[in-house]
Amino acid sequence: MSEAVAHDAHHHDHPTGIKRWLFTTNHKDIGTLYLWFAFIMFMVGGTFAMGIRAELFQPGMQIMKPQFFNMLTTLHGLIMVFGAIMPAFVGLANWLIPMMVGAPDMALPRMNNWSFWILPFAAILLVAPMFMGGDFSAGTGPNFGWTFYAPLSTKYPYLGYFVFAVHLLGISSIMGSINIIATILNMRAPGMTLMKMPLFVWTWLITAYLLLAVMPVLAGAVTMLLTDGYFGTTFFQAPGGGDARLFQHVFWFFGHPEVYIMILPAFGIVSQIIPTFARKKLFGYSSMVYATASIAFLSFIVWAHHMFTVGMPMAGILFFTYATLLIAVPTGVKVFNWVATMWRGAMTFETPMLFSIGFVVMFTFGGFTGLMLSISTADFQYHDSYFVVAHFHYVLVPGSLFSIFAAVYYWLPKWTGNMYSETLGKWHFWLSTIAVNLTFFPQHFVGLASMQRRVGDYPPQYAEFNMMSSIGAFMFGLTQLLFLYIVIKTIKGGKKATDEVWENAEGLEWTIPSPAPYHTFETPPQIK
Amino acid sequence: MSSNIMKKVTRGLFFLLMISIGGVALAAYDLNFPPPVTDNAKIMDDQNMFSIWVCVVIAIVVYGAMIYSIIFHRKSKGAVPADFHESTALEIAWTVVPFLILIAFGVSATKGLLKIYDHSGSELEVRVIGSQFKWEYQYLGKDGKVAYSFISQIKQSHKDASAAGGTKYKEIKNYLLDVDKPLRIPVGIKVKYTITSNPGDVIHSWWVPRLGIKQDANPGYDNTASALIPKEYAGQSFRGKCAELCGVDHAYMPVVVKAVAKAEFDTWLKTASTKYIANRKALANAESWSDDKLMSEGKKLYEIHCFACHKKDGSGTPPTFPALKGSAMANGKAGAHIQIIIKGKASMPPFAQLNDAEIAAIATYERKSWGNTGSIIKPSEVTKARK
Ligand code: HEC
Ligand SMILES: [Cu+2]
Repeated sequence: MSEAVAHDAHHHDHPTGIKRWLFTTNHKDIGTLYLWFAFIMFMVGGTFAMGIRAELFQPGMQIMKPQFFNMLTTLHGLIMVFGAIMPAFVGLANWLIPMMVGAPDMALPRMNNWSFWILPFAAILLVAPMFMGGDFSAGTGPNFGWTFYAPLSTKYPYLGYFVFAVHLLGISSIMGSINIIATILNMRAPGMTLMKMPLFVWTWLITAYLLLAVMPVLAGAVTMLLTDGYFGTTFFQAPGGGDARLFQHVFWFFGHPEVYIMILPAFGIVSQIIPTFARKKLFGYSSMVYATASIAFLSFIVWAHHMFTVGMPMAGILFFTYATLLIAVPTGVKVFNWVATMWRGAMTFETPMLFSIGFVVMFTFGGFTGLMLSISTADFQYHDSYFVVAHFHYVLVPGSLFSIFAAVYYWLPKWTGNMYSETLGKWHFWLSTIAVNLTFFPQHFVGLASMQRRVGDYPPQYAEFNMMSSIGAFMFGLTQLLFLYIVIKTIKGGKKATDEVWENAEGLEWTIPSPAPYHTFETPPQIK
Repeated sequence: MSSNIMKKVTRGLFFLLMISIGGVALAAYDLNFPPPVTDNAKIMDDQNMFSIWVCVVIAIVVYGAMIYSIIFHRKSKGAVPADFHESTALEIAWTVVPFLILIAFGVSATKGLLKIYDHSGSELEVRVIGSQFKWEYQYLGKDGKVAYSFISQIKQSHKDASAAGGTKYKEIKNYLLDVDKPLRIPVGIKVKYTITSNPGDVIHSWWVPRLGIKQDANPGYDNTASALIPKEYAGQSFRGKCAELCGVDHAYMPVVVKAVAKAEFDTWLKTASTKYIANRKALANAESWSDDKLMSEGKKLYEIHCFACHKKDGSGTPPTFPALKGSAMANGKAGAHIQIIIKGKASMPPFAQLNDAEIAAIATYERKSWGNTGSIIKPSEVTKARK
């Protein structure tokens, strides 16, 4: 198959075909792998979402059994979080961070390969139990909610698969974040001080530290599940003196920073894009950096706001209410900064900008509901209702996901050397935006009117809004096929992109040719 | 030019359409918290409205600025980018102002919470015990002992309609929100609820929105809440549900609280309690019960505790919940059968909270029904097995 071609002394072999992808240590190849993996998982998780919305289209268990529904919600959540959003951000980090800091590659290329290739195996372990037990319709896959609260999860017969899958995901994330930190701290081009780094690099540096801090906690949580399930320990089992609430504390100590792991890189992306299309410098670069760092710090001391109804002393509830309210300050700083950047700029509205503006508007909306949720007295009603579902989908779909779309449109010309179709990109944006609001806006209402989450059947008083939600979801799902089409079309050809791609865009990545050559910055650029 | 006007007209029409859809929706459907009944529910409701209005005001400012610059600061309008960035004054302002708003939130949350957490002056205590997939309610007497206890679960017709799919749900009143026996609560006095779940069970959450209560039912540990239903609500029912994912029948764990006049409640509880205590006493002589008596008691208990998973005809829902009809265990040695009921196994919750006579009756019923040929089990065998 591949012939070893003799390159310059410091070039490696350049295998082709499947070997290129299996053995690659090139940050661009690995970035591409991550992004395609994320997209495939996005389609899988999306299919589960379609199943959920099809069942909820009207009351009554219409097309599946309750346990199958529970499995769909569980796998939808896990796959979207661990399979789609996180790997997509890691893929972007792989592609962009070396190019943005003027490094030839990631600091630890072979580990980089490994951290990617663990993922498909983790994904297989996660979904494998779906096909065990003989009866597919019985929903034997993980069916205890993506938060896998004990002791419901410790009663699950295929717990071992799940625990192993999470361990693998954790190992992959930890290796990925070590790599990102090592690259950013050691491989910046001469003259690029920390405070000159692009914001995407900054937000990922902080995200990587968050990952390093909390992934081991997640590993601890699932290990305790494992020993409870198979080795007779009783960490979470009341009959043996354990306490189910311990699990939630450990889980959310991971889980809350995890929320920021899924949004900080998004902050970085829109902070790169908005200045380009507003043709104006980011309003407050250093306050953005400090705000990111404060959010990251605060994310460690707010975990129990997911647990206001779990039974805590009043002092605890008050502490977590106040701490959570505080997060609104740095988050507000970010939003105000983006708005001030647009203010009196000279804006144009190419697809990346549309997705970024969509991000700011709808992420902020999710922030408002987040603020409402943080106030414990009202949260006694919101908790575990569809209001929460609406809230986190607003921050994750038109939030994180839209930022990923924005990033793909923004950097795709650099990656492929071709411009995407602006018309189709705009269609993608508008259809997605309409669909996402049709899907999730009504969920606020059914939540406030006290429909609980994670149920496959519900009283008819919620029927109309659920139907709207389902129609929106189908529309959103279909629209993403358009995205796939646009990306493939751009890879295949199209108008050639210039090196700069966007008028006066700032950053080292715009100084190299389009498409970016396989090896870049082999001699570091000089930063003034 | 004209196409530009067309664009504006279509946009305008689109917005009008959206607003009118919104208006219709507002008029016809439940959009917000159901009307509060208790003081606590009122606190939650007020906090919700306060939060919404503050968010609306902030939204107008932020979105207003964005929309303004999107309309007026666009390159196509010939806008030239300004060159300002970093302004300490502005940055201090947009840190301090939100902070002040948050203090207002913090104060209102604290005030509300102090009241919600105050259970003093409760005149009646009810224990709420969740288990897969039903609620047990225990009224405690003045001596702290259980005066009356019963199990409340969804009406079977609702579950059947749900499983049937189609439009069956339309034929059923209060679909998914009705139970066989509601929880009766006297009006006019404060009632304390101690909420928990059986130690070997999973987490549930007892949620009655109009009473302002949502508390998790954690296996083996108690949570508390309280509520005073004002007198004018006597005769009304308040519906709720299990809010925490607890397994396959999570959607089928409704709560119905029926408010009754104090005097009526007292007479009812007295009668119910007398009967209940007599029944408990009878269990003490269960050792000498006839086989038929064991079977009939066992059937009653089985159809409360076990049928949700194993079905009334013992057919179960394999592979998740095994059939007991023809099962090796129900036809085999008594010891293992008793153990699985007491200790549970994987998704089978333990039933250690039942007493020896009850477990003996259920086990006997399982071993002698649906063509099974296991032996009779006496309470003394269960007593031995527990040791
Ligand atoms: C929440 C659902 C659930 C409820 C309620 C439940 N069971 Fe089970 N039961 C199970 C499951 C699941 C198993 C299989 C456990 C295993 O072997 O992993 C099981 C197994 C059994 C078995 C062993 C069957 C065999 O042949 O292996 C017996 C006997 C049994 N249950 C009796 C009862 C009795 C008696 C009750 C009521 C007091 C009850 N169950 C209530 C879920 C339930
Ligand atoms: Cu429950």
